[in-house]
Amino acid sequence: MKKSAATTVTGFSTLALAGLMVQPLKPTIAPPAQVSGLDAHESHASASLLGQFRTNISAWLWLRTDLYLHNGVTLRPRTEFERAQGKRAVGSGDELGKYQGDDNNVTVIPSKEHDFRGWIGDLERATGAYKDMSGHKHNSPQSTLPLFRLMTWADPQFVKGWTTGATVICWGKHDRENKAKKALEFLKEGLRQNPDNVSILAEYGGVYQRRLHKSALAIPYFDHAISVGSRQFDHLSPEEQESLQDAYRWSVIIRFVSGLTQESRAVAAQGLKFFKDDRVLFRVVAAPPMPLSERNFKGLLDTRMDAFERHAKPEAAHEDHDEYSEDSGDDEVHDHPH
Amino acid sequence: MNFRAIQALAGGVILESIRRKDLWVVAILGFLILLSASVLGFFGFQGLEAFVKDLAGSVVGLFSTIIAILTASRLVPEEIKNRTLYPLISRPINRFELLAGKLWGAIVVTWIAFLVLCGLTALALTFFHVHFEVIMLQYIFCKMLGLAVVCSISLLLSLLMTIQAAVTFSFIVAFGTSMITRAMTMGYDSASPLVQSIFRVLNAILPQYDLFDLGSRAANSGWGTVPLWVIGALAAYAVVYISATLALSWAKFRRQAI
Amino acid sequence: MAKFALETHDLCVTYKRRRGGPLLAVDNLSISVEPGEIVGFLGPNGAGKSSTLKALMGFVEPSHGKAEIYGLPAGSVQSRALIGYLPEVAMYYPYLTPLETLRLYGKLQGLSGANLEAEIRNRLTQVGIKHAWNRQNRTLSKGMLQRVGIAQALLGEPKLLILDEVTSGLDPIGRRELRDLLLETRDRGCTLFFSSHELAEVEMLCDRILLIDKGNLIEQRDLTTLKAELREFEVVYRGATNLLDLTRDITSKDWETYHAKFRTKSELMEAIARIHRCEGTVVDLIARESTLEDYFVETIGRAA
Repeated sequence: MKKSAATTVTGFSTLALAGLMVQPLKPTIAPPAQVSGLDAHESHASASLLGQFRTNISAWLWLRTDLYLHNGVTLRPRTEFERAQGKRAVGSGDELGKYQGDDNNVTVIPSKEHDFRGWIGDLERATGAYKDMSGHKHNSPQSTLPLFRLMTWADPQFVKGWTTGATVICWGKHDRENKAKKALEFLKEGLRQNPDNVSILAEYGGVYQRRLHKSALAIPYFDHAISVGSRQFDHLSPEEQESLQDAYRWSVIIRFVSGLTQESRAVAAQGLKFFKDDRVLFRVVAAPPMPLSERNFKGLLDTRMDAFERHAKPEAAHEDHDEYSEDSGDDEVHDHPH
Repeated sequence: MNFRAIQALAGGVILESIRRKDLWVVAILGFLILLSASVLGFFGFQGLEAFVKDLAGSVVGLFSTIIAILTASRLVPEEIKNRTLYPLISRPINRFELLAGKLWGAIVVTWIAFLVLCGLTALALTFFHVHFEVIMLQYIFCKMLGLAVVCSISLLLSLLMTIQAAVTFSFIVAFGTSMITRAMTMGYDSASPLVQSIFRVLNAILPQYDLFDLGSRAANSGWGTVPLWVIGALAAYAVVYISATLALSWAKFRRQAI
Repeated sequence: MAKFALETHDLCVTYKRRRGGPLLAVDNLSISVEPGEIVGFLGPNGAGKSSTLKALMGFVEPSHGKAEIYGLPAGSVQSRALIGYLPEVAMYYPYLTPLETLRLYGKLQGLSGANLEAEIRNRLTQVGIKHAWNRQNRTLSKGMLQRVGIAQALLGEPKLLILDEVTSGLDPIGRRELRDLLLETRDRGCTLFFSSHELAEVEMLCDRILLIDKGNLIEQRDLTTLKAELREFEVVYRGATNLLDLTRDITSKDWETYHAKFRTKSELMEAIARIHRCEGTVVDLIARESTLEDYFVETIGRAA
C-alpha cells in the first residue's frame, strides 16, 4: 500500500517537474483572430437570440400601434379576387378622402354581406372590434407615443420607431416649438444608438426644416444623410433609400430657395444618379432658372412613404399644402363616420 | 342525473389542484404581471392605457387558456395511469356523471386561476389609473364561458389520444381556429361550391373561441358595452358546445375498458 | 331475492391488442357465489382473475356471456351500489387526506351529512388509521394506503365485497386485523369474493375456493372438505395384519416393518385396533397435512 502511494507521488512529481521544464506549446496553425467589423449579434449566439427577441418585440409593438390608431379594428389587404370582384375597401376620413392609405385594406372581420358564417358572424361583429370603416378616422397618433418610447427601448436599432416616434411627438399645431425640441431630443438618442443612420439624419433635418423652419440647422443633417447614403447606397434598405431621396429633395429645395442655384443643381444631379425618376430633382436640373417658391416645390413632392407614415404624420402633408387644416385635439379619439 | 356526485367529483378535482399547487403557477404569473406593470410605468402612463389593457387581456387570456388545457387534458388519462380511477368508477355513478364532474372541476379550477389573474391584473392596472368599465365585466364573463369551452375540448381530445397529443391539439384548436376562420372568410367567395360546403361544415364544427374574447373592445375606448342578447347567445352557444363535446366524450368513454 | 350474490354465465373477456389479434383473458367462465359466503378466487399470474373482477365491476365489457350481482347486470349503477371494491393496486389522490378521500367516495356512494362523517371516521378507525387520517395520502406507507383502500371498500355497508389482492402490503398484524374485520363483516351478512396469492390467508378465511387458469375454471372446492382431503395418516407396524380393505397404500422395505397410509382418522383407528388384535406391534404413528400451496401447484400443473 505504502509502495503504491510512493509510486503515485513520484509519478505525479515527475510529471509536474517535466511540465515546468518544457516550453509552452505553440499552435502550429494560428487560430483566426476575431473578424473585425462583426457586431456582437454576429459573433455571439446569445446576443443574436436577444437581438431577435428585441426585434420581435418592437415589430409587435409597431403592429399594435397601428391597431390602436384604428381603435382595435384589424385590417388586412384585399385579396386579388376581392380586388377583381370590386370589393369595397375601407377608406380613411382623415384627409377628406384624398388620402389613399387604407384604400387597399378591408376589415379582418368581414361585413355582413361578405360573411358566409351567418349568426356566428353576427356574434363576432358584436363582440369583436368591428366597424364599417369606410371614411373612418384614426385615433390621435399622440396616444401611441409611449409605445414608440417602448419599442425603441426594446430595440434601439428599430429605426422606424425613432423616425416615426419623432413625427408623433411633433403631432398637432399647438406648442410646436417645444414639441419639435422634444422630437429632436428623441432623435438625438436615436442617432446615438444608430450613428450615421440615413433615415434618422434625414428626419432630424426634416424636423428642423418642417417644424422649426430652420433651414440653416436642417441642411447639415440632410447633407450628412446624403454623404452617408450616397457612399453606401447599395446597402441601404428601401426605407433608407426613401429617406435619402427626401434628404436630396430638401437639400435641393433649401439651396434653391436660398439662391444657391448652381449648388442646388449639383446636388440634384448627384441625386438623380440614384433616383432617376425623381421629378423634383429632375426639374431643378432640367428646368430653366426661374424663381420657384418653396411651396411650388413641395407640391411636387411625391408621397411615397409607407402606409403607416401616412397615418402618423398627415400634418406634415397638411402643412406642406396649407389647404388642409388640422384642428383636432392631440389626444382626441375620432369617431368613425359611417 | 346525480348532481351531488358531480359536485363531489368537482370538489375533489379542485381540492387536489389547490393542494398540488397548480395555482402557484398562477400566482407566479400574477407577480410577473405586476412586475411588468411597474416596468411599463417607467415609460409613462399617459397614452398607454389601451396598450396596457390590451396586453393585460392578452396575457391573462393566454395563461388562463394554458391552465385550462393542461388541467382538463390531464383529468382522465392521469387517473387511469395512476389507477385512482378504479375506486371512483366502482361507485354507483355512471361514466357520464364521472366525466361531467371532472369537467366541472377543471372548469372551476380554470375560473379560479383566471379570476386570480384578473384580480392581480386589476391591481396592476390601478397603477395606470385605468378606468374600469362595464365591458370589462362582460369581458371577464365571456372569457369564462370561452375557457369552459376550451376545457371541454381538451377533455374530449384527452380521451381520443395521448395527453401530449391532446395538449398539442388543444392549443392548435384554441389558438389556431381563429386563423382557420379568417382564412375561410377570406377565401369563401373565391372557393368552389364543394369547398364552400366544407367551409360551412368546418365553421359549424370548430369552436368559435374568438367569439368569447371581448378584449379588443375592452382595451380600446369608445366601443361601449355588448348588448345583453349577444351575451345570452354566447352563453347558449357555450352550453350547447360543451354539452356536445361532453356527449362525444361520453360516447368514447362509456364502453372504454379501464 | 336473487339466489346468488354473484354469478357469471359463459363469461368471456377479450382485450384488443395492436399486434397479434385479440387476447382472450376470460374464457367461458361460469361461477357463482351464494350470499354470506367467503370465496377465494385463485389462479396463477395472468389467469384472468383481475379481468373477471373488472367484468363484475363493469370496468370492462364482456365480449360474451353475462355477469350478475344479486340478479342485477354487473357494471350497472344499481349493482355497484351493492358492492364494495378494493382494486389490486390501490392508489388514492396523493394530495387528499384519508378523511377527504373517504368523504369523496362516501358522497359518491350516496352518503351525506353527519352519517357520512360518522361512518368515514368509524371505518378509518376500524382499519387502524385514525392517527393518520389528516395526513396527505402521499405521505402514507403502502400498508396504510391499503388500509385506506379497505376502509373505502367498506363504506356504505356493501352487500358484496370484491377484493383484489386484499392483503397486499399488509404486515402480519395488519393481516390478522384485516382477517378479523372481514369475518366480522361476513357475520353482518356481507358476501366476500376476493382474489389473493396469499394462500395461507385464503385458507384461514374462505369457505370455498375457485381455481382458474388461462381464463378457465379449473376446480372449485369447499375448503373444509379440501382440508380433510389434504390430511394423511400413516401407521408403521410389525406383524401380519390384513389392512388391505382399509387401504391399498401399504409398503415395506424389509418385509418386517410395514407402512400403511390412510385418508381418514377412522381408518387409522381401525387399523391400529386390528394390529393389536393380530398381536402385531405399532412402531410409529404419523399424521401429515399437505398445504393449500401443494394443492394449488399440483392442480395447476395437472391442468397445464
